Amino acid sequence: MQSVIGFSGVFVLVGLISSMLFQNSSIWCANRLSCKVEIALRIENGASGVFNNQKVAVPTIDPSSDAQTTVLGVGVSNAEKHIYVNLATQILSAYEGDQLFMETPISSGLWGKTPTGDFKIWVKLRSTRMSGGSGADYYNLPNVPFVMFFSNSEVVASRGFSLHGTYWHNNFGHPMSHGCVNMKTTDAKKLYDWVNPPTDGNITYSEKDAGTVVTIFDGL
Amino acid sequence: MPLVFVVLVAGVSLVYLARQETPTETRVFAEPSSTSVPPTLNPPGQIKTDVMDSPDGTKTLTMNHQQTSERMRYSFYTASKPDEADRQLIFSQEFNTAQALSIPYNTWSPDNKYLFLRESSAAKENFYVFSATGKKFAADAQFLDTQALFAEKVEGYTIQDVTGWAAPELLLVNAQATEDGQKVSFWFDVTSQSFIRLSTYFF
Repeated sequence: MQSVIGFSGVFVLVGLISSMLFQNSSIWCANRLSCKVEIALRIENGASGVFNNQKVAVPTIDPSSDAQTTVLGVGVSNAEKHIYVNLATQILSAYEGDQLFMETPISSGLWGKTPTGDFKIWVKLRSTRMSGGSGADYYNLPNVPFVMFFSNSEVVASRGFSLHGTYWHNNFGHPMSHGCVNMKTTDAKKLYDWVNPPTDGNITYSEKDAGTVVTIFDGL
Repeated sequence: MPLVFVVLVAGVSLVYLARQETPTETRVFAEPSSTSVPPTLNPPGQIKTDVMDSPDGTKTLTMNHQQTSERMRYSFYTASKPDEADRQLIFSQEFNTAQALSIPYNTWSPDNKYLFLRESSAAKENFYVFSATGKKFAADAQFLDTQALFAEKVEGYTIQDVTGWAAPELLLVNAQATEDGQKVSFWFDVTSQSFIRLSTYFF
């Protein structure tokens, strides 16, 4: 009898610990592959993409043809840059000091939660591959453009959350991602060219923790 | 006799003075006619323009609208950026001013092959899908009427909103059950003109 109670106790304990771990991991990885393999620059022209289990045409990326976006009066000051993402309104606002640089609808997490808090951009990639989901919401997307990965001490870099361009849907202003912040590709490029660290090639790491701060909040 | 003369003079003088202090209104005002309205000149208003670029920035949709009397004239064009040399008329129509057409923020399909427009009136909203090249759909249809197709193919639900594109050929339709108010999302597959009920609600 005692052994039965003991066994049940262990079983309940394991269940409790598992549920706690599971709760803590409700924000897990933005993209399955991003967590499993190195977050890296990937330009895969000619590859095919899948989103919501639907085949998607993948745009060709030619970094040599990228024109740098310049905005008069912005980007030349030494004022602090700060990005705000309001999850309730699905609006991203970017400020340089008190000057609004851009404001645009985004799509945050629907199938996976977008983490809230203050983050810093730690690396910028011109392009990478993202995949995850299963069944009807399976996705595998090469050439995701203008990716700005962010992290903090709680949501570590390897979990793969980012702001990035989006070519597979156009439903901005509504949650539509697996945890990342989806933007129109033109908006993502504009932001990519503006944020710190300043772009230096197809992959730019932030040195001395100098990446632009991204504040994501519920906005309720 | 002199007394009569004095009274006569005094009377005439009093009448004269009274008329001087309170002049009577002699002008005549025209009564508004209820049977005929004089014709008025109502020149067309200024042409206003709204533009929405595709998410990749390569295409643009332009809406010109101009008010004429009780009507609003709309014209929609697509073109490739930056030179817009392939400018193409997609749709042109006059509506009464109780109806309004507009370009939704997410109008362009992700592959730039389709676009949708919103029609708003006090009674309802409707959403029309067009080919971005102006090419007609099956049965020579210039556009797909989302409300009409939904009413024809899905029972027990009414469309609440169409928010954008879930994939290149899938329009996201949010609907509500007429019986219990349950909210359900559908994909409207533009190629097959069918509605696919989803387990996830896209809010």
